[in-house]
Formats: sequence, C-alpha cells, structure tokens
Amino acid sequence: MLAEQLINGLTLGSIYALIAIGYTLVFGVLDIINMAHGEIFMFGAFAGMLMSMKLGAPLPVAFLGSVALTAAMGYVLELLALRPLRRPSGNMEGNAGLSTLISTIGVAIILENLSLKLFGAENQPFRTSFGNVKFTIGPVNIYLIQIVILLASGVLICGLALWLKRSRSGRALRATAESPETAALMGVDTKKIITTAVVTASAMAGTAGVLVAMSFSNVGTRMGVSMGLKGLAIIVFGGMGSVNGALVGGIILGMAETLVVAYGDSGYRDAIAFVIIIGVLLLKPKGLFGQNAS
Amino acid sequence: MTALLKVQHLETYYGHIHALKGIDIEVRPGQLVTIIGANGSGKTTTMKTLIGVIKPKRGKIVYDSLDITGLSPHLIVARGMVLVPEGRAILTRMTVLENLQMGAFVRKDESVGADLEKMLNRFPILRQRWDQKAGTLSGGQQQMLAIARGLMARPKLLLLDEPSMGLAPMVVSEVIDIIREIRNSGVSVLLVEQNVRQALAISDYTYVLETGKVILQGNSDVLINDPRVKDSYLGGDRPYNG
Ligand SMILES: Nc1ncnc2c1ncn2[C@@H]1O[C@H](COP(=O)(O)OP(=O)(O)O)[C@@H](O)[C@H]1O
Ligand SMILES: [Mg+2]
Repeated sequence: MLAEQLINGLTLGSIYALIAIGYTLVFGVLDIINMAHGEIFMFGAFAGMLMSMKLGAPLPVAFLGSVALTAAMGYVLELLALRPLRRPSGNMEGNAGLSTLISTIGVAIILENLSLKLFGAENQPFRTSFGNVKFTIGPVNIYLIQIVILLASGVLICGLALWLKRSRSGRALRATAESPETAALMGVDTKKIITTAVVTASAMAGTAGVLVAMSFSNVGTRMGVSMGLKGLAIIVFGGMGSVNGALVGGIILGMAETLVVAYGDSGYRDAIAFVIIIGVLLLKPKGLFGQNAS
Repeated sequence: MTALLKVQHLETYYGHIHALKGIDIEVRPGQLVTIIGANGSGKTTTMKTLIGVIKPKRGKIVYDSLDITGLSPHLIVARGMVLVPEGRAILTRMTVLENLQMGAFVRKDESVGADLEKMLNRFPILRQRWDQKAGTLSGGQQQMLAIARGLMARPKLLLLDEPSMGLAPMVVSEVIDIIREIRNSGVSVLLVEQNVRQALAISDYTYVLETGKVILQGNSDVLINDPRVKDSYLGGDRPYNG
C-alpha cells in the first residue's frame, strides 16, 4: 500500500532530519562533527523509557525530562570537552578543530561505556499506552505514534528554521557559523551562541531518541551508533552545515529505506540508501545544498 | 579635552613573533586619526588588539574613560567602539539587509529601523540589492556595506582597516568622501590607509608605524610635507595634488 509506505517513510525521515539538523547546527558554528551526538540520542531514548516505565511518569513528563537531560548533556559536553580546546575568541584555527573532533569521540566512548554499565547490553521494551493505537482512513492505517512523531518533528524543525531565519539570536548563530570572528566584531558573544547551538542540537537528539523508542517500542545501547552514522551520512549528502540539506536529506533517506524494504529486498535497505548518497555526491560533491567555502 | 581612546605601550605577540613593540596612540573626541605604514608594520594587529580579537601581552587601552584591555570584542563593541576589518569581512551567505541588521546587533534602542532607512538612502545600491546575498556584491559595494554595517552600531569610535584596499581609484575617492562625512557627523575615526596622500589630506593627526613601533607622528598637514613621509609613502617628491 503506497500511501502507507509514504507515511512510514516520512515518519522515519523526519526522525533522521531531527538528528541530522543537530549535527548541522554544531558543524555550522564549530566546523566539527560532534561524534557524541548519536550517544546523546541514545541517552534520550533510555531516559524517556526509564522515566515512563520504571518511575511511572506520564509520557509528556518523561518526554520533557529526557529533553532536559540531553540539553544538560550538551551543556556539559560544550563546557568540558569543546570549550577548553578552543581559542579564547571562539575561532577554530590550526589543529583546534581536529582536537575537538577527537574530544567528541572520547565523549562518545565514555557515554557508550556508561550506558552499558547503567542500562545493560540487552534491548529493553518501551510500552506506551498508545503504542498500538491506529486510525483507519479508507484503506490506509496510520498509527497514533506516527502522528505524534510527524507533529513533534514538524513543529521543532519549523520552529528552528523560523528562529534561525527571523530572530536576532538566530541571525547571530548564522553569522557565527559563517565567521566567528566577524560575528564577534558585530558584538555577538560567540561563546554563548556556540553553547546555544550545542544545547539545542542535543535536546533535539533527545527528542528524536524518545520518539524512536516509542515508535520501535524498545531501546538498546546500540541505537546510538547506527543512528549517529545515518545522521552523518545525511549531512554529507545534504551539504555540510545546511539545515535545508539535513531536512531534505533526512526525508529522502527515510523514504528510500522504507520503499526499498516494502518493494525490494529488505537486505539491501541500508545499501540502497548509501548508493543514493554516493550517487548524489558524485554529481554534487558538496551535497544537495552544499555551500562553497567562502 | 580628555582622549576618547588612549593606548599606552601596547605590545602584542603572535606566538613568538613580536608584532607590536610598545605603541602609544591617542584619539580625541571628533578627531580623524590615520595610521600609515608599510605592509607588515603592525597596522592590522593594532586594530585587532584594540577591538579585543587579539589580547595584548603588555600595555593598556583606555576607551571612554574605561580600561578595556583584554576585554572580549562583544563587550567593547557594546560600548561603541566598532571595527570595519581589513578585507571587509562581509557575511556572504546572509543578505545585505541581514548584514546591516547584524551591524545593529548590540543596539536595543527604538531607532534601528530609522537608521536602516538612513543607511539605505545614503547607499542606494544597498537598497537596490537589499534582499540579495551579500556575497554577490562587487568589491566596492561590499566595502560600502561593511562601512554601513559598522555605522549601524552607532559607534562613538569607528576603526577602519584599509577600507580602500583593492578598489578602483573612483571607488577609493568615494570611500574617502564617506570617511570625511562620517567624521563630520561627529563620529571619531581611527583609519588605517595605504592611500597615504588622500588619508593625510582628510585626517587631523597621523601615526607612522614601522615594524611594530610608532616612528613618526604629528598633525597630518605637517606630516604630509615631511620629507621622510614623502620619500617613503608618497613616492618621492611628486607634487601633492590628491
Ligand atoms: N596570524 C598571524 N600569525 C603570525 N604572525 C602574524 C599574524 N598576523 C600578522 N602577523 C605578523 O605580524 C606583523 C604585523 O602584521 P599586520 O598587523 O598584519 O601588518 P599590516 O596590517 O601593517 O600589514 C607581520 O610581521 C605579520 O607577518
Ligand atoms: Mg593590514
């Protein structure tokens, strides 16, 4: 049923987009890939599941708790792993970018080990009251969780895009992304802007974590790595640092994966996605929405 | 009258490179002061140290009766000292309008909109292309945008680092006119220029920099006839005619 598959693809794609936009925000202002992003996503998923299943918190509370936790993780990441490696004025020169990248890999490994200690290696179920609620419109089934995912990611992505485009601080973030030194000359406190970007990206990863956990009804410590790699692939595909690229790239990847599973051989699910990505990169080396370095 | 900017024995290093070796500069309210000097003499380093992008090793910068030595740029800009940097540093991915809005980032007063309007009137080319990415402007247009963006902060003291760099002679004259206009509007200006003749012609006071030191200073109308300036910076003794 094509309509159903398109909805599935869009749902998966919007999760990918949330993750990828997080990568893009951080890449924009720091010119590095935050290798701990996937692990923060995984912690968000676990936090939501544990608060809901073990503490009996209502879902919205578990959701907000998980967003708060991952936002805090972003803050600590910036404070302890990123900021000390930057120059005072906030601009990355020489090897500062490379050492920051390594630093995020270190954080990723620490978080992965910590998660095994805290949560164990087994996947754990995440049952929600509306896990199986679905609506039937003619021949098409839509699950409530899909509607929640589409609404939540839609609101988040549109909100973020509007903030970046229209607000004073959003402009400051874009200016910092293009040149921290120039932004500082305009009076922007680039340290604050960079922190905002890392915290926002992490909170979005946390949100995506809870949504994924609810939609697959289980969580596991491995989910961070695989989602992290997909997110990475998407931002390369969409164009580094481009929010539009992350959005469109995420949705294309979600759709492609879903359609391949539905109409092709599910064994090729990940392979097909990467074939598309490589194809696009051959034609447009900077990705779909890639910007030329200025 | 007390100085708006008083720089005392400023020393700046890049690693082990001793770029500024003790510089003293003063700008009084309403003055247009020029810094000249050969390539690599430390003009840009001076500007960057003043605005806080680079921290000095020794020395003191007092601006508007406040010791700003070592402060971050955003705190200095918020106090009304603004740098239009060498090479313009236009935000190429943002529109012309957004660049101007970024210029007013530190302002919270009501008249930002009115100033924007004023700026678009003063620079019609910017109005024509307000919605285009600033990276699509020509070099001269980008320089106008950089100056307009600097003015959007409503500076008390405007630092201009080689605003005529790489521009056609006609455009250079236009830039010089604009600088004079800025000074006449009451803004104090510290100008770094390679077009020595024109810079000295419009400025009140001039410092000559050589390898990180002030080797000569004085009123611009005196220095323009100084044989050392003539020989080194005005291309021998060709008559002065702008
Ligand atoms: N980022 C830097 N790293 C190391 N040395 C620098 C750097 N920038 C400038 N310098 C050196 O400092 C000196 C002064 O440079 P600069 O202030 O740019 O001169 P000017 O603006 O007068 O041409 C030069 O010797 C230059 O090579
Ligand atoms: Mg210079």
